[in-house]
Amino acid sequence: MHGTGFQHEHEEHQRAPGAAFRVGIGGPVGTGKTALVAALCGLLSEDLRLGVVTNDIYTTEDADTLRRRGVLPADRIAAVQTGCCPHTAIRDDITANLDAIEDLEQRRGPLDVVLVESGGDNLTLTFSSGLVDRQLFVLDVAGGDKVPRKGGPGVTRSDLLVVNKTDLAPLVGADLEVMARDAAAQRGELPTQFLSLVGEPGAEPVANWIVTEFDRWRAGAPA
Amino acid sequence: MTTTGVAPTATPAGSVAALLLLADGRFPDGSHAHSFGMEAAVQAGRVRDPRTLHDYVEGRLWTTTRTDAAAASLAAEGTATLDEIDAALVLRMPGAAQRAASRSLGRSLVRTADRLWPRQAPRLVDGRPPLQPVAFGAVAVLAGCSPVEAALCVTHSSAAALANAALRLLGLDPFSVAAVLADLREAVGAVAASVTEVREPALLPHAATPFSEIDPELQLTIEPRLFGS
Repeated sequence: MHGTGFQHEHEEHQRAPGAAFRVGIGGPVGTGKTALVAALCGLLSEDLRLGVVTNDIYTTEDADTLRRRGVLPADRIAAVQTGCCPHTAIRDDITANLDAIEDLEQRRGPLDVVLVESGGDNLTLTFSSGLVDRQLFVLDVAGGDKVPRKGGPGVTRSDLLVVNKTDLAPLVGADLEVMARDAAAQRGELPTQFLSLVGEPGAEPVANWIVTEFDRWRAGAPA
Repeated sequence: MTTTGVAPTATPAGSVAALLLLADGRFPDGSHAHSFGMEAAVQAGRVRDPRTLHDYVEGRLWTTTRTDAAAASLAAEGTATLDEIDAALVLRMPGAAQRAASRSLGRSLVRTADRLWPRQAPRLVDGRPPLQPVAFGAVAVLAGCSPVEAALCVTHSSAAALANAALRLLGLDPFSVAAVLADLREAVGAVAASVTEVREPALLPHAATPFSEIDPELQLTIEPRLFGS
């Protein structure tokens, strides 16, 4: 198959034993990814060893806020600079994110789950399978009820589509049934969840989905 | 311990193809997220338009980039050990932030090399990744490049990375930025050619600029910063 020169095999890349389950969280700016990450940390950090890598612009202020809210110790959160290219960092050249995950695991010992939050971008944003094991894509109703119909890889192929801020639907004239129907048309059997972080059950459905997918991944089930 | 990779018997076209692979901005070595001092320079107002960009890149090419290119060329040549070249390069990087960024990029490059050429990726004797230019020279050999091609890749990539960072930070006209890089083609080639006579680590060039050492330190104080270094 190969000509002169190179002796090599295309080896199936194996993750190091004990490496964490990685969940990517993507979606446009302002849809509530960071709030969702904070809520998930609150729900999951008691039972799971969690880490967070954020590609969002992350300031000391953000770190202080998270520390004050007590959702996760500050040294379980790593910020990655993307050089103004949020897509590249999670899709084309995932090096900086891999370094950050490695550093987290080395610093705090083995982790169960690492959440990788992308820098907010547009509907074409998608995570590389080299970086994450599952990905969820977060839209919000205030972005308009026609967004699922627009499609894009985040809407059509993410493992879980989250439509956030349902409490705002009446205020922005968003028809949730239209969104549900359009999402189903785009996604077939792939799941969609409608969410509001205001009040109960909050982010629990997403947390439950993560736990289920984590168990499936550990059992060796295909994505 | 030298790292003479299992270099393929390279045809001229094959070795140019290897050079193009490594010099391609899309090659996943982690460098897209670094500005190599440009973010600090932009914030300080030293780079603000195509003309100041041109002058800045030209200055870097003949100083720090030339040193890096020489280190890469030496590493590709394989007569000195990676540790010896790394130690000589450390002496020429007095800034801690500058060294940390280079060590981090070296680590990223070693990971990439591990995936492409399993069990052949360059490491220092104590297991640490080499500084980026040293790692790059060793990787260039694995890919099938000659020492002068390794040097050329370093000079080209340095100019391109600096210019691209300025493009993103300042929203410069991309045609103007491309024109700056086109203007600097001769310098890119000349700097690479000028380091082939460097045959031992002690003779690595050492020209630098104050800002090439200060800017990586300044970078760490920028908040929020958009680039890793």
